[in-house]
Amino acid sequence: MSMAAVETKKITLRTADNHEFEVEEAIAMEFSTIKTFFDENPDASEDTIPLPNVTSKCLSAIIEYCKSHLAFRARETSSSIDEQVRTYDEEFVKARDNESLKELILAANYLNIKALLDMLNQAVADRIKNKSVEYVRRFFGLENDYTPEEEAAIRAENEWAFEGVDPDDD
Amino acid sequence: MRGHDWINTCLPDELILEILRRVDSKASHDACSLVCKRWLGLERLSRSTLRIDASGSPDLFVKLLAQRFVNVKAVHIDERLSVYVPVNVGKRRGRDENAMTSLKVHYAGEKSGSEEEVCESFCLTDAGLTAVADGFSKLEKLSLIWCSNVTSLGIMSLAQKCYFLKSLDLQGCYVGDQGLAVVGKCCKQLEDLNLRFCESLTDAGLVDLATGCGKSLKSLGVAACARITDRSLEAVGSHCKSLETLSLDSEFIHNKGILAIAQGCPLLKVLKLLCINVTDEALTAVGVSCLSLEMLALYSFQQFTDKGLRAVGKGCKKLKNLTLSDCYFLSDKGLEAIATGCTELTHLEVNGCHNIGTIGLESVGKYCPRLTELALLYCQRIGNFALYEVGRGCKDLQALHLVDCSSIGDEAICSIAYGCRNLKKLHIRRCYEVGNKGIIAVGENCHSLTDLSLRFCDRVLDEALIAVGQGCPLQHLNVSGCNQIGDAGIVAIARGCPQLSYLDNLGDMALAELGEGCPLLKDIVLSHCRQITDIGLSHLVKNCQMLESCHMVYCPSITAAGVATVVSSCPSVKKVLVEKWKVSPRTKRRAGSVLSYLCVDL
Repeated sequence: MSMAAVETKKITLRTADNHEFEVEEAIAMEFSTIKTFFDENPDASEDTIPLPNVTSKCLSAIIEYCKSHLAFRARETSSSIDEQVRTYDEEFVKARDNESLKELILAANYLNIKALLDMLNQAVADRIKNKSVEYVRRFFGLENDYTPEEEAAIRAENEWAFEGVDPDDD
Repeated sequence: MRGHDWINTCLPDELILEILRRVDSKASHDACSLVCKRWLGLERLSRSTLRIDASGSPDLFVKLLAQRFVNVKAVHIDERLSVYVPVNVGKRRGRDENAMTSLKVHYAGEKSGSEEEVCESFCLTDAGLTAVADGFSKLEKLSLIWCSNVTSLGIMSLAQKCYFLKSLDLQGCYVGDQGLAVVGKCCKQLEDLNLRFCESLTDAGLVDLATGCGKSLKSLGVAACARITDRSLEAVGSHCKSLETLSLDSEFIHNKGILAIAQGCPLLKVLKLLCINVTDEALTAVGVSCLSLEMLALYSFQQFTDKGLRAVGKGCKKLKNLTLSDCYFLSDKGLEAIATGCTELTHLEVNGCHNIGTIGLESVGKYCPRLTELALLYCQRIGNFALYEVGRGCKDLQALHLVDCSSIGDEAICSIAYGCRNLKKLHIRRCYEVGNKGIIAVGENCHSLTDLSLRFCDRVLDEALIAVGQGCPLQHLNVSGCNQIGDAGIVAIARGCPQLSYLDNLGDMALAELGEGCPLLKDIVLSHCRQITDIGLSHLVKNCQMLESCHMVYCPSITAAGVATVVSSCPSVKKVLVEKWKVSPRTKRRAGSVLSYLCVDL
C-alpha cells in the first residue's frame, strides 16, 4: 500500500451515450439513487454504474453543480455565502435553454438529487410565470386537447375565485 | 418539433405538480389549467389557497370550488372587497358569460331554491361555512373578514371538522362565546387567532379557548371587544406558554391583565398595545419578565412615562423594533434609556411624541449602530443635529421616513447622505426646510437608492432630480406637491433610471421621455397634472408595455380618446382610475374590469 496521499475514492458512471465519468465518492453520494444502491450493495463500489436515462451533457452539468454546492457547504454559513449560492444557482439556470432545463429535471429526478430538483422546478415555474397559455404549451411541447367550448368553460370558471388583493394588516 | 409532447409522456405527474406548486400567481395558474386536460387536473390539485370576495355568492362558490380544488389548505373570504365580475351586467352576450350564468343557474336549480334567492346572498352564511368545513378537510388557514352573517353555529361546525386548523382570522365577525369554546376544544393545533372587532365575545369565550388550545397558541389579536377584560388575559397568561405575539386595543384592559401576560408568557416576542388604562407598572413588568421581546409598539395617548421605557431598556436586550406613537409623556430620557440598553435596535418609529427631541435621537445615533429603518413623523422638536449623529453612527441605515418635521432641513439630509451610503429608501413629506442642497447630496452619495418620495417639499428644484437621476438607480419616484419641479427634472430621471417602475407628477414632454427611457414602468400617477394631454399619453403607452396601473383624475386636458388609448395599448393594465364621464361606452365594454371611477362629487 502506497504511503503517498490517498486520493478520494472514485466511482465510475456510464451515461446513455456511452461516456464514462469518474466522480469522487462524495459527489456520487449526492445522487440519492446511487447512494441507496451502494447502501444496499456495498461490494459493488468497483463496478461501473450504468445511467441509461442520463446523457453526458446532463451528467457533466449535474456533476459541476454538485461539486460547487459541496464546496459552498464546506465553508462556514453566512449571508455572503448564501448570496454566492443564490448567484451561482441563477447563473446555472440562466445559461440553459428550455430543452436543457427539461432534460436536467428528468435527470435530477432519476438520480434523485433533491436540492437540484427543487431549484430546477422553481426555475421552470419562473419561466412560465405570467406567460400565455400558448407559450406554456410551446415550452413543454404540448398539444391542446380542449374543444373551443370546453376551453371557454374553463376560462369562465377561472373568474370565480379572485386573487391578488391581500387583506390589509390591522 | 423536437421534444414534441415528450414532456407530457415522460415527465411524471409528481414533477408537473411540483412545478405547478411553485407557480405563484393566479394568472399563471389559470394559464396552466388551459394547457391541456391532464394539466387541468394537476393544476387543480396544486392549488392550495383560495380567495373569495363579496361580489358573488360565497355559499355557492364554496361548494363548487371544494369539488375542484381538493388540496386547498388556506381559504380567505373577505367581504370588504368586491371584484368586478363580468356577468349579469347589461346585455353582454358571449360564450363566457353564458357558460358561467348557466352553470350558476344549473347549480341553483339543483339546490331547489329559486335562482333569485341564491343570487341575492352575497354574504357567507353558516351554511356556507359548514360547506367550507365539509369541502376542505385539510384546511389549515381560514380568514373570514367582516363576514357579518357568520355566527357561532358556523364556527362550531367548522371547528368540529377542521382539526388541523392552524390560523383563524375572525376580524369583524359577530361570533359568540360558544363558537370560540368549541374551537378551543377541537382545534388543538391552533397557532394564530385574530379576534379584532369581534364585538360579541366576552371573557367566557376567550377563557374557554385558552383553556382548550392555549398550549399551541402563538399569536393573538384583540381589538374593540368591550366585554373582554383582564380575566381573559389571566387565562391566556396561565395557559398560553408559547405565546409569541400579542396585539391589544382596548380601554377595558388594565395593569392586572398585562402583568399576567408578562409573567405567564416568557417567550413573548411581539407586543402591540393601545390600552389607555395601562400604566408604567405593566410596562415595567414587561421589562423585567419579557426578556425575549423583539418588537414593541405603544400607540396613542397612553399613560406610559420614561420610567416604563427605562425598565424596557434595562431588560429587553433583544429589542429590535420600537414604535412610539402619540406617547405624550415620553421624553428624551426614555428614548436614551432604550438606545443605551437595546443596542440591537434595527427599526425605530417616533410619531407625534411631542416631548421627544434632538437629544433622544442623538443617543440612538450614538448607541444603535445596527439601525436600518428610521421614521420620524410629526416631530417638530427634532432638529438637524439629531440626524447628524444618525449619519455618523448608523452606517447600515436603509430607509428613512420624515413627515412633517419642520426643524429638519438640508444639513440633516446632507449628514445622512454622507454617512448612510447604503440608503435604499428616502421618503420626505412636508418638511419645508428640505431643499436642493440635501437632495443633491443624496444623488451624489447614495448610489443604492431605489425609492425616493419628496412630497410637498417646495424648495426642491430640477437640479436635485438631475443629480438623483445621475447617481441613483431609482425604481420608485414620487414628487407630487413639489411645484418647482418641472419637465427638466423628470426627463433627467427618465434618462438616468431605466429601472423606474413607479412615477408621478409630469407634463407631455416628460411623458414622451418616460416612454422611451423607462420601458419597465408599471404604475403611474398623473392625477392633478394640468399639462398632460392625450398626445403625451399616447407617447407613453407606445413604449411602456408593462403598465399595470394608471391614475389620471383631475387632468383637464385628458379626454375619452386618451383613456381609450391607455386601455387598448397596455396588455397588462389592471387598474385605470379616471372620471366616469371620460369613459366612452366602447371603452367600458372593452375594459370594464380595470376601470375604477372617482366617486367624489365635488
